[in-house]
Amino acid sequence: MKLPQQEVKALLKSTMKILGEQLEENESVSLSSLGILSCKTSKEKKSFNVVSREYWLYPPKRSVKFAASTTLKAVLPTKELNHEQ
Amino acid sequence: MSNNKLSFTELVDLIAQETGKPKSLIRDLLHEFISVTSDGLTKDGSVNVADLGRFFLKWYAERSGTNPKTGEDITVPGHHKVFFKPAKSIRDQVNKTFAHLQANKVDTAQVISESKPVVEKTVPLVSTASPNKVVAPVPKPAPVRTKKETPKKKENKRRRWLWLLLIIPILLILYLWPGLLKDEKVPDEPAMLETPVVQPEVIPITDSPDKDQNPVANDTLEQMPEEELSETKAEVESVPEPNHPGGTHITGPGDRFRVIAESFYDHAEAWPNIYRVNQDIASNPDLLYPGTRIQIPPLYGNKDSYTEKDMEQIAEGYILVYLAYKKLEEPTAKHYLWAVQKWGSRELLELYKTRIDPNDLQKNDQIDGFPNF
Repeated sequence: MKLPQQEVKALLKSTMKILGEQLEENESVSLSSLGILSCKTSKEKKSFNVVSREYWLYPPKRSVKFAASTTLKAVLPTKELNHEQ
Repeated sequence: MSNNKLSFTELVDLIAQETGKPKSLIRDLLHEFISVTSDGLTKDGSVNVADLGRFFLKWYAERSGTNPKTGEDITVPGHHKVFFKPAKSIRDQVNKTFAHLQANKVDTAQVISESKPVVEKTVPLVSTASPNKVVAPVPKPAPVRTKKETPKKKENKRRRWLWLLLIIPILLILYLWPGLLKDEKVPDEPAMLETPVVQPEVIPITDSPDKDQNPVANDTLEQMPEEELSETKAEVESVPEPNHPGGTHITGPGDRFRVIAESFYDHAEAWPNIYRVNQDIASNPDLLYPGTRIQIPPLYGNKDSYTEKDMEQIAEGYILVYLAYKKLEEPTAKHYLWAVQKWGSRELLELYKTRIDPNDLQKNDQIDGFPNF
């Protein structure tokens, strides 16, 4: 690929924007050879604070999950990386 | 909101449509992006993509496990897992729908008191934009555990009470069993109740005439039949009062049996009668320690006319004195054996024949009369 850096940056920015929009619409996005980005909605939940003896109701929440593809899993190192965070 | 899956081609089309670039260019760009990300993960273990998030690897060490299907022990080798942490911009974008909702504190009293209706008990989440506006009904909070008994607990409690009611009578019966047995025996032995057991009368050490002449105590007399009672009363009336009632005496310095006999019986020669009942205290008839309590048996006769019983008892006393002196190897012992003939019959000597020295007995036979002691 012979593209100027500015153009690549703009293209990637557009890509990320579209990915965000798709995830916002609760759609999974498949990136071939990398994996699938999906959005999961967790229901509202009630919790009890044992210290204050109070019940709290938390609103529903959406979070982004990633499942690696088999292609990516296959190329992952079989030994622990030293600089792994 | 639909949960559709956007394929790679569709993504390329979308980006191409958005940017107005050719699809091939976008496809190549995305492939390059994926390739770079994959290489970065493999080499560095972490790749940070601006406005998207961070891909990173996490190492899971080797561990032993069990195959749930076969039950075989297996070793899971160490491996990496890929994780993704979305950027804040993505998180905010995704949660835009619920951004206006905040955690809401639930009234505890309300939760506890409200237990029946399900729909009405939902606590609404209040929008931060318009606090008074009810945004969405929230399902009823999980029921709070109260002390209300469940049917199972009630059943268990009922069973416990039943067991208790069953066990208590059994324990009572076991506790009262000996008493019940005792009560059952009463009808079989009615005589026991009518005539209580008469304790054997304690006979005093002294061989007093009371033992023979007053054999029955007053208490026993009351419980005897009338015929026996009248006979016994007649016997009691016929018993004479002893001339010398006897009693106890505590010895003083210089006391001897002879002196005591003189004091109680007015007849010193009757002293073996006192020795007879006190031979355990004084092994030597001539020796009496001061402060010794001695028994004085009664005599029914007096110096001039002893009863037959008195004579026998005094004679027996002489025999015992003889035996004591004989034991002490006193040469005068045989003299006391001679006295037996005066006080008692020869039958008494026959009774003690085995304990009397035959030589002393022969000499006793040869002598007539009673030596003056």
